[in-house]
Amino acid sequence: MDSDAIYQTDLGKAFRAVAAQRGDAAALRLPDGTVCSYARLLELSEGIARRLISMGVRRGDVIGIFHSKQADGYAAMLACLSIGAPYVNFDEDNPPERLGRILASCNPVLVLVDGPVSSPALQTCKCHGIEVRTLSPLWGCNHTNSSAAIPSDQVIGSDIGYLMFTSGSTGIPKGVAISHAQVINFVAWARSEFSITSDDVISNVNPMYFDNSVFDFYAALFNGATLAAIPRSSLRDARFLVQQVRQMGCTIWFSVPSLLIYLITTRSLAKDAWPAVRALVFGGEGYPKPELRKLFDIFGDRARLVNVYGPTECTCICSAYDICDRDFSDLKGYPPIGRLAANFRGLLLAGNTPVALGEVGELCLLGPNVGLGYFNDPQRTVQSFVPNPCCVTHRESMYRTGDLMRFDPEDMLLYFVGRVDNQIKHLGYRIELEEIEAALALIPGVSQCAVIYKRVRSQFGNLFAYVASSSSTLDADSLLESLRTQLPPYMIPTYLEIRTELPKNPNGKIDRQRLADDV
Amino acid sequence: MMSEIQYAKSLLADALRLDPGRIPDDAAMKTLRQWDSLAHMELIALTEEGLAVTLTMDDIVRMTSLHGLVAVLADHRKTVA
Repeated sequence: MDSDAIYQTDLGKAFRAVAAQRGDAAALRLPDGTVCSYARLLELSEGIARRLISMGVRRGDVIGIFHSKQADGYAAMLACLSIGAPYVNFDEDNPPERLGRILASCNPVLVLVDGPVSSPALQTCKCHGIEVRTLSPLWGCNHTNSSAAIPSDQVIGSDIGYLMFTSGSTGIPKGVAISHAQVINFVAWARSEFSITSDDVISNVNPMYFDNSVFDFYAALFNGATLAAIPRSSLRDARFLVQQVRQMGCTIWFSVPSLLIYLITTRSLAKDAWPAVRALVFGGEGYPKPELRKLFDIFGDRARLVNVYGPTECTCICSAYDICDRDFSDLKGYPPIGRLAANFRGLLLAGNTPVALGEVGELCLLGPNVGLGYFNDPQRTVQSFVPNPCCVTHRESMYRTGDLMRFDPEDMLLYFVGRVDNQIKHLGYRIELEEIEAALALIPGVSQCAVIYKRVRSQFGNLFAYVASSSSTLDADSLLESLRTQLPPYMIPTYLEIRTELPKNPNGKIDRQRLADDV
Repeated sequence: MMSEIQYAKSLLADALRLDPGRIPDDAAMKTLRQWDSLAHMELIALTEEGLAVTLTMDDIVRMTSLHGLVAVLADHRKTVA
């Protein structure tokens, strides 16, 4: 693969260059066993792009996609990139209210669908006056007329490539905006870090609305490798999923740790399961060491196990750490984050002051892959994307991650210590506990509430909600049912208890520690 | 003494954080919303701890319904006996 292909100014041109080189080679391996070549994927995407242009879609217009990992869905993403229309993949499991808030925040001109989508999700789009079109191989046909030709020079590197929504503490999800140039930089990093070649098959087990999928999609298709599309339905059966990954010949796997732990706990992932896999990459949450040891015992002698870290706001990944024997000298906590990738710089700050070597500080990221901010949300953008306080000569944007880290001077590695706020990672999903509390507070009869995240028995934590109410008609089931109309399934507490009042600390605030002790 | 089905319900209730009385006799991973992959992993851990055994993949596949869990418990008790 000629490395120059990715050094383009925009992702549309970059993909055309890759597709021209790879031609009939497999771009996608699809769940039904079929293969979509680079040439065919380019043809599909150009057809969709022309159709979008003929419908009046212009550079900068946002396009929503309900993506079920069909060739048309991937082609739609590429089509949007080629005309400079930022795309955003939606989670159809978002209840109408939350999906509605996301739609209101990004205001798509059109929503594209590549497979069956739940009717509440479609209804929500219609309620917001957004046209929904179902993609099919014929959808983009017959749009080769010159009036709808794809302009070759209208997209520039600083244009937004995609939006990715993540939980927001106010109850309104935040749409992170990432530019074409940032993705191109990310693609180059991924190629170098994982030595990706056209022989590689990269798994796409991550949902497309989930940040981890950025690695799958771009690291594969913009480096000339093959993307193995694994649909959500495969996740219901651990043995089937393992078999599917094997049949697709995946060489690089990327998922949240919880999925790997599930495959191992259900005895579905054995030593000989994935003979072609040469790198198992995991991130999005910590991998508890006792569980990681099991993965290391299976794959440690023949594949790289790589712990990656990165906020959605900084183009998916900003560090990669290779797990090795010495990480298991004790089985406490999580492996290190490692060192920042060459395209990032970091500061550990207490307030605006760098902490001393070895001390804990908030990780603040700098460099070309720090995202553009939150779409249509200048207020929250300026809170997190701030000027570097240590740079007095010029203005340099820095992203405050909210992650507390320690840089160990002995091994020169970063270690995750905790958060500055109430954000948690649950099954890889980033959740602001305040978003759940805001949803609870909207329910009539709830006077106060608090949500706690605690690891009790299993390898993972659970969400526990406590509600203060004097209403005799409120019960836990109806409250949870009400929450389900506002929040996606992964944000619904496992346990909810109603009390007459919640414990307070001496400052009069809800005593979360006492609630956590009660769990 | 607790019957096998009562014991199975208590394990499942513990994993799902539900009252045992709310576990129906026909409970299954496919039909009970709370029985997700996370809860299933807890159920595996609780069952292994309760029986002091290591479950096989076949056991784990069978444990996706209450009836299956009862059968797995019974099989392991026979082995222990």
